[in-house]
Amino acid sequence: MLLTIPASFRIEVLKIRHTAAVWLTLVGALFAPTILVIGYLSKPEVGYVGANVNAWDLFIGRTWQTEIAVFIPFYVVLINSLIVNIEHRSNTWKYVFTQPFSKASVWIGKLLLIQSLIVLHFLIFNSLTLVAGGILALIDPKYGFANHGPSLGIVLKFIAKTFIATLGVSGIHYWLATRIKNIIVPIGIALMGIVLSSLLIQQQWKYIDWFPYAYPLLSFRKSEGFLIQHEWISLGYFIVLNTLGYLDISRRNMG
Amino acid sequence: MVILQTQQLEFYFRRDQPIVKNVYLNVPQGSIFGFLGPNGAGKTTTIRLMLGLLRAKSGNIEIFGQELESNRSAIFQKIGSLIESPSLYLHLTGKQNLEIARHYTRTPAFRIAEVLTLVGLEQAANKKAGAYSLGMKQRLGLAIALLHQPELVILDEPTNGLDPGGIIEMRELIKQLNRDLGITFFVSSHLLAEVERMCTHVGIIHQGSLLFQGSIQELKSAQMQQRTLYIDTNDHKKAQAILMDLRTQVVEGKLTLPFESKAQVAALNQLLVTAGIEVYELNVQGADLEEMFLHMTR
Repeated sequence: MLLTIPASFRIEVLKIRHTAAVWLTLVGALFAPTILVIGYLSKPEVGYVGANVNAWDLFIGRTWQTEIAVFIPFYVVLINSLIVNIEHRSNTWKYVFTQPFSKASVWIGKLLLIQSLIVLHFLIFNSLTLVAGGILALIDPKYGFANHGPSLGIVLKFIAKTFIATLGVSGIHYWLATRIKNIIVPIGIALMGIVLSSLLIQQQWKYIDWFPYAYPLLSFRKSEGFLIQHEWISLGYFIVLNTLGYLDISRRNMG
Repeated sequence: MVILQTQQLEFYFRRDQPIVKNVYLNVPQGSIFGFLGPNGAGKTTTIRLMLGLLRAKSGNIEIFGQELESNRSAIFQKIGSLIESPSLYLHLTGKQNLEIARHYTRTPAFRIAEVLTLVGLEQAANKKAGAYSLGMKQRLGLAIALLHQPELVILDEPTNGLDPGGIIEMRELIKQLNRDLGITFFVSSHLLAEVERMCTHVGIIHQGSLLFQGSIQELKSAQMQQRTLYIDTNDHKKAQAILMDLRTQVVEGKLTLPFESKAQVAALNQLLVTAGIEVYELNVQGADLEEMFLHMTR
């Protein structure tokens, strides 16, 4: 089974050509940097900082804040739903499950593809953030980008923390997508989860560490630590829900 | 040798509404096995059970002499299938769909051009499958099923949605692949005429139960036995005495006996005429294959 996983992953890559999932991953990475560039240009004073402050880190922090508050939760839900929906839409579960590949290998191949796209999205998003900062530096030296360099360690930490924080939501929505053909329902659930999580964070709900939709925001707020409590729980959700989801799909009547 | 065998196959969503009841199938290697039954008889459900897409409530399935559930990968490497509407990635081209199939079955790349030619889709290879007509989709589905040179091909109503020309092409292709490459075909259909023209063996399913299974010859002789020869003469008693080896009866003023063949009718006639009996009428009545099928599945 293990030996077929790379092949299974390759097949999943072949399936996503010309799909919304790819566009969302690539074009979606433009979202937060573009908003920030527009913000800096329309209200330059928000970008003018004293010489003591690292303009890069401030800019990167602000793009991440926009990305996490507005884009990431939807992106993670959508990418899980869109990738799995390819099989529902094409009526291909019956095809996939009569191929000489174990169901576990199919499950893991798709899972790896989704997680790779999420990581790819983060890498592109951060590259574009740096490009956006560079463009602003060229347009107006008063932003102070020339005084410091970006702290790449912080960027990598953001990526690692946010990625782990999204795993809980991925666990829920990967399984859900195999069960629900329609794509609106998961988006509705995600929307409720996101609204609820900002309310719960505001009210300092004591069980917030168990509410997966809040994790990206929690990780952003508690940026100092790594693998703090909710991040471990996020990993736990991911492992448990994937195990259950796989057992479910492998026992279910499919196609 | 039997290539596919099911025993006591049962399936239901609700226990009081069985969909497949106690189905024993024996598909001989090298045959074209027609799985015949009216719509809703349980054909597709049986095929899904055979491919492990549905979990049987009881019974077992052996393909290539191996139990299905514990040998899925090895078995599927040697099976091609096309179930109901073809499973195609509509956002990809015909060729890209075959590319995916090629990776699933570890087939060398040159086979793609071969199967495209075989099903006549070379010209449309780079068009998106979503833009294909139903007939083209069906042919691409068949190309995918044949790509890895399987030993057994399972096709669920493969001529659905094809125009008359397409139906003949599909039938000839199946016969040709069976003859030249020895591929065993298991083909479901609700059309007796289609099965009769194409298949070497037949299984008839109705309301989830298998009513008949055997070669087409066996089906035909079963049907023959249901036909009756009516003879009208001037002297039934004398005629009965002459034909005493046969099970003759007088029904509605005519002699009746089971019909066997046209030669039998001619011989009987000669026998009676030679014995000085006047024969007024010789008449064969009873079900032809079509009527018999309708009768079975009524």
